[in-house]
Amino acid sequence: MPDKMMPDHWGYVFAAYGVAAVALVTYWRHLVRRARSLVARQRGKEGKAA
Amino acid sequence: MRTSTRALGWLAALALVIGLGAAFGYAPREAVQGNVQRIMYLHVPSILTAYLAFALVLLGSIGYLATRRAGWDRLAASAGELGVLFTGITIVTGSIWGKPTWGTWWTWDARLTSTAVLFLVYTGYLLLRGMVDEPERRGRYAAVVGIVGAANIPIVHFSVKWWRALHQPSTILGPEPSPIAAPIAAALLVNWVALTLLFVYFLARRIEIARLEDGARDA
Repeated sequence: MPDKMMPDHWGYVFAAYGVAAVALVTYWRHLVRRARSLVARQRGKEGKAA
Repeated sequence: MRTSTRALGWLAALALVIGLGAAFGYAPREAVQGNVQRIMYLHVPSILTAYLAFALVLLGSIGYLATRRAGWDRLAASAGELGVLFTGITIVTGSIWGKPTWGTWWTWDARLTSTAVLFLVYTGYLLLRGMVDEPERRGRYAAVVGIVGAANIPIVHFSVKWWRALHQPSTILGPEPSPIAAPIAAALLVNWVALTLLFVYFLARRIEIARLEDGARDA
């Protein structure tokens, strides 16, 4: 066991995981919204054509 | 959305929960750095996922130049976007880890600098795609950047070997057997699998969106 161990720095750990979670969830929501709007647009065009 | 893509999403979510359990419950407190080392279970899988993404950009770019099929271009574009996302996460989490362990948020170390260059090259790749309207020309220009940009991946990975760096040398994907303790390696592996599954799920959804966008443009 080393003589000196660093303090825990939990704040940094939670900040790192928090930032990553926000980035991933924001990207996922962007994908969901984009897909939804494109499908709605496609259905609108198909409805007009029919 | 296809049922298989939805199932993949749930599988990725489950894997992420297991990964968090492995990182915070199963993996022991590291002997020197203490609990701040747990950032590694996010930081390392993020850059490995980014490597995978950029390898797919290379594959898609070569495929597009060889065949001119739009599917290859969609693969390259989608993987490029995700590569930038995961490289960004790598840089930010590394910076947050660096402050308590190195005493600084950022230093112009070989690994950090080459990773920043990687991020900028592929951000440029995405900007280029946004600037060219004509699909065939856009695909061709982007493919060239996608192929040239891939040369930076080995530079990032081997930078800690080639130059004197503050960043620690590779402990996985290196020529020597990994010195990591088994529980730490297991937690790392679980999180690597989890982020890879999430990447594949995002990639499937992004490619589907690219296909819809192409369809909307052609209509």
